[in-house]
Amino acid sequence: MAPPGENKTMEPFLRAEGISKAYPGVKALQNVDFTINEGEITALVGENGAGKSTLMKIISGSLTPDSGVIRVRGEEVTIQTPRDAQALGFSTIYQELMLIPELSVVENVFLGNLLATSVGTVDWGRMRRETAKLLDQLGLSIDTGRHVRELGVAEQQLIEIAKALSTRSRLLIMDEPTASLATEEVTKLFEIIRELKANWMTIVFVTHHLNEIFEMCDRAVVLRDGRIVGDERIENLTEDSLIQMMVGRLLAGAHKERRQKSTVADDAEAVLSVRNLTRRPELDDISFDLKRGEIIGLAGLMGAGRTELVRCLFGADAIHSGEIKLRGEMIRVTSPGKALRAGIGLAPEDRKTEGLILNLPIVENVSLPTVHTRTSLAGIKHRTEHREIHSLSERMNVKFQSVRQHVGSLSGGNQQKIVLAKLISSNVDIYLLDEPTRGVDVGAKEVIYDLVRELTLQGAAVIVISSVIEELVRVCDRIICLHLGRVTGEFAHGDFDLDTIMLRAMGKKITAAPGAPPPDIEQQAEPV
Amino acid sequence: MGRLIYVIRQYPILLILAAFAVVFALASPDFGRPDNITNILRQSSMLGFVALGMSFVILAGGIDLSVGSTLALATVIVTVMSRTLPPALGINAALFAGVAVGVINGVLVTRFRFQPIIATLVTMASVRGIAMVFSNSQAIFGTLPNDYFLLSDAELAGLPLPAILFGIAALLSGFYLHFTRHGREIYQVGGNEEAARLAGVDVESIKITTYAICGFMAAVAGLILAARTQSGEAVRTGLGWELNAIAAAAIGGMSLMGGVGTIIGTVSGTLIIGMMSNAFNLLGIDPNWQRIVVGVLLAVAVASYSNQDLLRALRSRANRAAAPPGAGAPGAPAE
Repeated sequence: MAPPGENKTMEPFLRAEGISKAYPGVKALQNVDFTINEGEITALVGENGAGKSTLMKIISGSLTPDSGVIRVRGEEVTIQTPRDAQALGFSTIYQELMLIPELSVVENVFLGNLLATSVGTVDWGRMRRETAKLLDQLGLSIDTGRHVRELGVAEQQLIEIAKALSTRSRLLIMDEPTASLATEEVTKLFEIIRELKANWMTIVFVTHHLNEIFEMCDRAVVLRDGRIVGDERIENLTEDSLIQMMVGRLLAGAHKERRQKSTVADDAEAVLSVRNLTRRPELDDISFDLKRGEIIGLAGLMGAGRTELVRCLFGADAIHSGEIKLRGEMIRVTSPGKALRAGIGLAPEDRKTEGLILNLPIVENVSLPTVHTRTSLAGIKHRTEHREIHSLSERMNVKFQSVRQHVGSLSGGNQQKIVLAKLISSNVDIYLLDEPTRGVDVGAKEVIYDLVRELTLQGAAVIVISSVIEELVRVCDRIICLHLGRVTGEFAHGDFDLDTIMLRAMGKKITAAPGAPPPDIEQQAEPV
Repeated sequence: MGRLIYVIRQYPILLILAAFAVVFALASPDFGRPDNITNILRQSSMLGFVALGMSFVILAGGIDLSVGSTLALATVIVTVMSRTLPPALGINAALFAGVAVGVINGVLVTRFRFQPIIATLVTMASVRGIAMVFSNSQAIFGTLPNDYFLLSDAELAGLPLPAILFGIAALLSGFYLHFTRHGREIYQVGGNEEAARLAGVDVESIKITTYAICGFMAAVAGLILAARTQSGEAVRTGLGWELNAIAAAAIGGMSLMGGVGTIIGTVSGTLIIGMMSNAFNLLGIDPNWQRIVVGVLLAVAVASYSNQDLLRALRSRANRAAAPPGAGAPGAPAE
């Protein structure tokens, strides 16, 4: 361990300079300079898709950057593989824990670094003893021979930490370590992290929970759209200023495009009424009405229950209690097929795995849910099919060479349009759109939202999920905030306020009137 | 005694193996006679070699359909080469060919990203084709010297040589899988490939090695078979062995998902299949029924193993549902 205090004024522990990484169609990181100081806890924050994971993966060697250099204590290093990162003393704990469920605790702790005896065989005895010591250090009393699959998530996370300690890591990167932990487990984890820090471990903490940043971290680095937009000591930050950096005010101009007023008539019929919908543990007692011609936005963090909610409405997941009324009539959507026949369509979050069949042509993707309506005894009426698709694509400005082209060869934006075309051609009138603009370029975003508005003018009703709250503010008639599976706020078009919506989505309650100087924020009681 | 209970707890398959032995012994008086036992061991050792090799591949999350063809190729190579050359050369060439087929399988799976079942289907077809070309699709007799037949017929301390060789191979395999770093990495790759990769395991070379070991073992089985039948033959030799080898591993508790299973299990599975076919012969049961029974046995074994998983999953799910909805709450109170 390096002597504490000495490096404060010298080179930072790690300095990444000019890191860029692009995926087809998306610039995940653009010329990012990122430093980590020794013995500190650095928070890496940003919205979904801001580039946090990409940056983290580059440092841990599971992705290689397109350009840029990484220096450790001023010396340039190459990190091509996870092993390189390991050799430098970097350990990463991914959100999805990287353990092997069917193997023992011992073997998982020493994964990739099995200890050997003098003759080169695996030294189980020594590993067992060292594992017991490490677990003891972490306050975990479990049999080292147990299979990891028998352990709870919190215990598994500690196994990951033990793994990092076993390799004498000096840098520990943790991606959303609290995402699947209960409150007391979080408290315990934080104690352990503090202890690690006291032992001069350098830690990077990826999170979007503000309270954790203020509780645990020394410094916050904010990423937005693949760029670093803020780098501040925690003492110089307030929750407000941090949120401002995360969300950004660059889009302030976009407010002008915002609809002046909601186009939904006050007395419009509620096409979809949801009452007390519950699916444990993801959704708890959700109620709302969706009116004809209305666009409702669902705001919330990852894991808030937004995707789960629309999947329930679409019949992809079962609900445990509560009721759904479609135009005043009780319905039970027990399968996506039933939902489609009832006129409810879903554009799923992950269009590549759930929304499209990438290696089939455009035409077959679009007509997939409705192929039965175009079939006669003589087979599928291909001519009708093609005609419909051409008119749809013209309307949506999709660029493709032929309807026989595979969907996988289209850009993200065009793929998303195909997903929408699929819904439109199935004649649904309730659209559930889960992150329809993720990974889509600006121009395509506009087309998608224009189209959504057009649909509502024709009488459709829409629920749209987006992690970018500005987008919701721009296109929605109403915004509902979800936090931990509960509704924590509902805003009519006239009351849209970015900060308030953001805070509600993060589970904070605001007691002062909107617009009043510094809003008094209090922690909302955790649901029990 | 306590030790025995521990071993049986750890490897319940041994109990099932013993149960089969008892049932067959009761059903047929000839079953338990020493020369019959020797016979079972001699018979089983060939499938045993193939099943051992298959175990390596399955543990790393793959599958190998080409073993039957590799086995046939080995019989052809050793008999054809022995026409003019000393058999030692033929033996080495056959083993080398087995490893080569394995490496090709491995490279197809890792570098060319073929699915294992397709990659080995490719070699299954083409390797048999090569064997047929070499042998002109004719059975080859009379080229092997008498000494060569000792590979099948010799006995040491009352045990047939093939069974001794198989025992040594099984012990080495078990040791390798449990006590060497590379062996553990096979389990790690099969258990969670991504986790293994991120822990710095060279996933590709691990996979290629398992296929190479499998090809080698299949060639050994072929060499023994050539000694036993005193011939080499390309068209019918080893047909369906891949399925028997997979069945032996699966009956022994190996998960085709990878990462779960033991050599003791595979050896037991092999012996169960071997005893069964022997007992059925003694009892004069139509050999076609053997296939049906192996199928049923496989179904029963897999169902009991996978239902353990199912029960476990249900249990952990019930636990999760019983947890308060606050579980998964990311935010601890700030103050």
